[in-house]
Amino acid sequence: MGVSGLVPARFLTLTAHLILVIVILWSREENVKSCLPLTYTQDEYTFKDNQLIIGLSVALGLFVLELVGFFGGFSTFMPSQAMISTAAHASGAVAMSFFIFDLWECDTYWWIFGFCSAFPALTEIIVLLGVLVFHKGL
Amino acid sequence: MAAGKVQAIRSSLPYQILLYCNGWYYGLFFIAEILIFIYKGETLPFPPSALGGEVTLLFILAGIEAIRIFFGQKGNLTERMVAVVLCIALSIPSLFGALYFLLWQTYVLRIEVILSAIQLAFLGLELIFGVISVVTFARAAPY
Repeated sequence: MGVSGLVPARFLTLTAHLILVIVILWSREENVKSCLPLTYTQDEYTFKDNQLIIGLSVALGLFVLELVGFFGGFSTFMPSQAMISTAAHASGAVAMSFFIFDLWECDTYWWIFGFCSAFPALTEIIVLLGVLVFHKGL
Repeated sequence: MAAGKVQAIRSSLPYQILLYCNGWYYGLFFIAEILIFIYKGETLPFPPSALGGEVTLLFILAGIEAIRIFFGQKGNLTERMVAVVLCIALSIPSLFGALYFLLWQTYVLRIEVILSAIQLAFLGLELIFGVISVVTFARAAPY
């Protein structure tokens, strides 16, 4: 049972990252302000705010996708996908907590999004395609 | 079921997955709440004995949760109705415990809302699958 430790590890890092994304979606004013110049108009603020909302919402959608793959048993016992997902979401959770505490400017979110949400979701889609379309199994 | 040789497995796989993940999730919840209580005790003024009561509740909830998940898993695997019913009955105090951390405690932080909401989602889903399992086990009683 070499895989047994990977399943809870993946689940917990996924949950931790999910919680942090929801927290930032809830309180993002300071992060949005930190990527605007000292004097800004309301339009500029709304533009940046909408960008961040869209990014976080897409990340939530990708979380749903990964949770479906995980709870549905498609990639639950796949060590490679579990390793990629655990590593990406663990670093994502750490990066997101720095994002909150150090008030990183909102544009750096896209790096976190790309490497820690989109990348494991992409491999998850490949796994889902392999299982559902090409019947590759475990 | 031709000659009584074929034995259908009536244990519910989604229920088992939910219980397994809920056990790990409660561990995360517990550690996070302990750290949150340390933070709250350091920075916020508390009425006397409120903090102690809430921490005690967290520990009691951990005990209830351990018993509930144990009975749920064993009952589901051995297809015993009584254990699953006990698991469903124990989810009522567990539900109120999670609701306490969501609504009624002295200071509710934003992260606690999210943490208890996920716990409540787990409890609700387990309630649904638990009732389905009880119905399945009761209907196909051996004769």
